[in-house]
Amino acid sequence: MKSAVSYLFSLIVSVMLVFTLIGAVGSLTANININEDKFHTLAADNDLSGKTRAQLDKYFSSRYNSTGIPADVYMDAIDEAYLDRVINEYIDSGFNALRTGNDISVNVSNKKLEGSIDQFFVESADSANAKIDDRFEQKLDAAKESAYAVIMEYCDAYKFNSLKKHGVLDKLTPLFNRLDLIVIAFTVASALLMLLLLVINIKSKPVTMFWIGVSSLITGIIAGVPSGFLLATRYFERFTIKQPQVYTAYTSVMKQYTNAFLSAAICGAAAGICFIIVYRTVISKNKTVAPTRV
Amino acid sequence: MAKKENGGILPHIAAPFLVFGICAGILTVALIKPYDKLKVYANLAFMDRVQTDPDNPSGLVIRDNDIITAYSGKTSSEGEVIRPKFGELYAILSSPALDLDVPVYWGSNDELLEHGACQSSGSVVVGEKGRSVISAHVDTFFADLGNLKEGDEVTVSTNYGRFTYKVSRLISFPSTDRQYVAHSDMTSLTLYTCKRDLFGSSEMRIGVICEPVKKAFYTDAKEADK
Repeated sequence: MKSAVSYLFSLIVSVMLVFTLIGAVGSLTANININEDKFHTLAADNDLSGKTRAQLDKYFSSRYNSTGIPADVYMDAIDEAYLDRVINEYIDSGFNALRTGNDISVNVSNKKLEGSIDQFFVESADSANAKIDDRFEQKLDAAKESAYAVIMEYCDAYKFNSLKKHGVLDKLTPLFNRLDLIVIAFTVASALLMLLLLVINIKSKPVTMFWIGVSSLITGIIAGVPSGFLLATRYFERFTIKQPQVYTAYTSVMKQYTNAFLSAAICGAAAGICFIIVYRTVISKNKTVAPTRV
Repeated sequence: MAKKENGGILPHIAAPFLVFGICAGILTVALIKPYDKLKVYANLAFMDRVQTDPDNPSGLVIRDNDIITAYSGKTSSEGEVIRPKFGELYAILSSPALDLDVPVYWGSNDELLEHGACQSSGSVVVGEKGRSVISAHVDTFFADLGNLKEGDEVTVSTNYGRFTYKVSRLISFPSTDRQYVAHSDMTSLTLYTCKRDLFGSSEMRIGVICEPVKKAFYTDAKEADK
């Protein structure tokens, strides 16, 4: 009867341990992988600036019929170094907004671009013998504003602006700022539950190893199987995100996080199997330690 | 002896399966709501805003105005509304029960619904006497409309004033039923969206009727300009 009670309690604590271990692995993986440095690296590795430039070229070319401004006017002044700077500023500003709740603010000014647009407008006015008056200046300013608005939209590959505008970043701020605390809380909770398992099985201590092993194994399976499925079926590649740079930005972060989570899950499962094997070895060597009986 | 050994080993063999079954069950149930929420956030993040611009051949001009949400100047219970143009962002709808601050565009079509909630141009501008009707997609901006309860406060902030309402009724009606969206002389605010349906779009609409509680027209032009 006592064995049945200890078995039942061990089972309940093991279930709880699975959740705290999943929480610890998930929050630790997020803590390591969701930060400015990782996003900067991913942006560089996946050539986000190159993809953004190609999309801007496509956009400005498609606008030629309605604006009369050739894409070259813009694209000659927009190089990948400039786009890299703006993309990285968006990442920094986005994470700053996530931490502090401040607005997203990015400096997209580009003297070369403004000069190129100025030159095109002046040359067009000259060739058409048009007056350079207030209306001309207004159109010139509108063209520059519009160009900057499009650049900002395309360079915000992680869509921080949309997330901020709709209050999503603000909702995530408390969670993000407490990520360290969450990792510690889950780790401490896991340690306490392991101690509790030891207390429950105090009369046959090696059984604790079995239950910890079971929890680790199940954590590995529950965390690893969905992650493995996502990666094996190339699930993220099915996303229908229209802008390639946004698609690349999101899918690369998701793949990186899923890979890290899967690695941690495999380690957890392997540790669980080791615990169970050690437990079996110990009880087979030491016959005085009886397995839990119901 | 063999019986005794089975009594010890079988529970150990069963243990991983039991733990797995219990955990998988709990996780499945627990993750339904976060999954829905994540889907809404993803839908909002991936909206293609550049697709709709002033030179779009569709002719729709979408104006994303900055809306005053933190006004500290003088207010009055009476004042003038600013009539928006079709496709103009003219208000922000918020409520403690709604997860998001919802941008409200004047007029309604598929493209505008991608950007926010839409107010039917056949209804009255918020702040005027009569019925104002605002709708949005259930998978984006009005994902949490069903969370509103009777007595909840709903605020509509515009550039000419801030209008507070109280939810007076929860409603459910077929899409062909016009009783909650048609013109009315009584001042009220109708918020509605599609009813969630596992098998595609639903013919039913759900929403709330809100009664006005407070009108605060901005009278301090300097504060309003900030």
